[in-house]
Amino acid sequence: MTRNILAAIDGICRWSGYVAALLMVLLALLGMTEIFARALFNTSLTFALEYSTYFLGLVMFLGLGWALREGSHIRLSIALERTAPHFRRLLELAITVVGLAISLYFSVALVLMVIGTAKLGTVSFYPSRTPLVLPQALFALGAVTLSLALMARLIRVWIGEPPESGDANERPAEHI
Amino acid sequence: MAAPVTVVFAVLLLVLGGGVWVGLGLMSAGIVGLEVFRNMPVEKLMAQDAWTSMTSPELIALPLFIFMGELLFHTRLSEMTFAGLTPWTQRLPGRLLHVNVLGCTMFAAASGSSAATAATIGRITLTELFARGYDRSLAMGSLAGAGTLGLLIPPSIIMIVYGVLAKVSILQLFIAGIVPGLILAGGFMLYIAIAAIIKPSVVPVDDMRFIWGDRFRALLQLAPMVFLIFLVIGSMYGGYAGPTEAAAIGVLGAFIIAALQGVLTVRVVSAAAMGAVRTCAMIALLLASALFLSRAMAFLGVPGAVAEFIVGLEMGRYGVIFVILAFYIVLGTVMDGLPSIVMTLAITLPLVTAAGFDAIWFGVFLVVVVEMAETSPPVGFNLFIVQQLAKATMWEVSKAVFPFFLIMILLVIAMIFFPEIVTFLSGTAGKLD
Repeated sequence: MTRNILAAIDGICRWSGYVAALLMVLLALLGMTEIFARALFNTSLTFALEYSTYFLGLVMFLGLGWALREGSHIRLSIALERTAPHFRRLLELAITVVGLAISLYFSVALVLMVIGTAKLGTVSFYPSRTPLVLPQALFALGAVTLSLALMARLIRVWIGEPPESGDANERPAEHI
Repeated sequence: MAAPVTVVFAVLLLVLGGGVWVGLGLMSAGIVGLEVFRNMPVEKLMAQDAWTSMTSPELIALPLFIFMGELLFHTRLSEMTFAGLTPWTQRLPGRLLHVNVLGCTMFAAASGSSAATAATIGRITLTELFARGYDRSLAMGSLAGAGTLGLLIPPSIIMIVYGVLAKVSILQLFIAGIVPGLILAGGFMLYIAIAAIIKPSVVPVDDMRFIWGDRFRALLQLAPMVFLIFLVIGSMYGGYAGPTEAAAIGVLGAFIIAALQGVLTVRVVSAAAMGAVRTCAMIALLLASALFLSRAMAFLGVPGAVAEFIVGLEMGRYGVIFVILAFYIVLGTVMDGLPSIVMTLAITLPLVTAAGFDAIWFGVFLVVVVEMAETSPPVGFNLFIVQQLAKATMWEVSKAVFPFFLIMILLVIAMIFFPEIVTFLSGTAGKLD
């Protein structure tokens, strides 16, 4: 049961991250297309700019949960390092619960925004009149993956498993 | 006014000090402050803010530059840079030790990250320098120091984050970083040269002979790098492209270089894209929460209250900036540069601008201060990278980088008294943004 829940959450977060990676490549291609269109045909593709901004939001957010699992999000570990091993698990539990509460607040806020957009039928101000509910729903999903990943982390700390599957410090290219 | 300030700072201290992720911690301070002291739909403000800021066009350059850096990390640019620079450093006192600084300076012009710059250049240079008998300390120190140029010489991820937070032109920030970056590189090289003249034993006996033919053949090795720098910085400085276009061109350039080197495979592209997504997610959480917190603080009147307090101390223009400098140096010893800027900018930026400093200038100032944070023990990330590459202790690396750290302090002090170092180029740069 617990295994299945953890596997399901990991899967959702990872696939959400894969989609973000695909959109990253598309974002780069859109940018290049826009430049060539302007240089060669002297036209600007309005849809390219519009969709670039949606892709941007999704590239930034769809990996939120996956990044937690991979140990990419930054936190100060001074208190944890100074805590006796016995209490460390308790502190980790407390940290994860607080983090989850904040993340849930944020996820719910975004989901409410999406519901509002859907009810009003808001469309973009670009000529395409894209219904904003589509990109916004995926954007909110990114925040939801963070809440899911924090839930999985809570379970892992509780049952005494290593909460992260990787360490961002081992991946210098991902550091600023 | 005092109650909201106290509550916001207490929440921040407790939550961040306890070890909650910085992004989530910043959100919590904003949520608590607004829910307790202001009667407003906080969740609406928060959601709308996140959506608007994360889809604003000026941010498109951020994932693209990160993606470009990740792609380049998988190429053989570091080998080519080393081979290309080697014959050109023979006549300089300190010889190959300059390769770290020159290589990092060049790579910095194609990458926006200090860690990536140090790791990419260092994985070749450190091995080579150690094997040839160069002074270990100078080799490690110059790498850790020069790696930070990745932050100052455009493109720069941290400048994009600052530009978005401070609402200033990213292009102008980029241009403003060029001269301080080159001064810093020059300072590092000067120090290496002086060290080599004073103590010739830091350099091994010269066993390499080059003729001019070798030197010009070596230039061919540098060609891909120069090509990339020309595309990215040249297009921005010439006014042909804004940061977004330059970033897209840069990704294309990175693809071309990877293809020419035969490493452009599905595996490499997906690894680069996935690494970039993780970095973007890390920055997104920090950025979205910092923007929300600074809005919340503005609603609560916190920056005004803090500014009033500081003005009441009557420290004067230079007093304020030196206190802020000291504050960031101390903060830099316990945390990385990016989170420390993101956490504090809502307070420090209004203070500094109130004291009469320019926001672009402060951006460059902060980047140099962050460079110092990356090289100050115990948590400076560049120290950590060099330590791993060199298989040395943290103490050895910290000692090795100290002279380079001092050179950065000299630059910061020079920037305070001669702000023109920063501002004179950005005033004349292309207006496209």
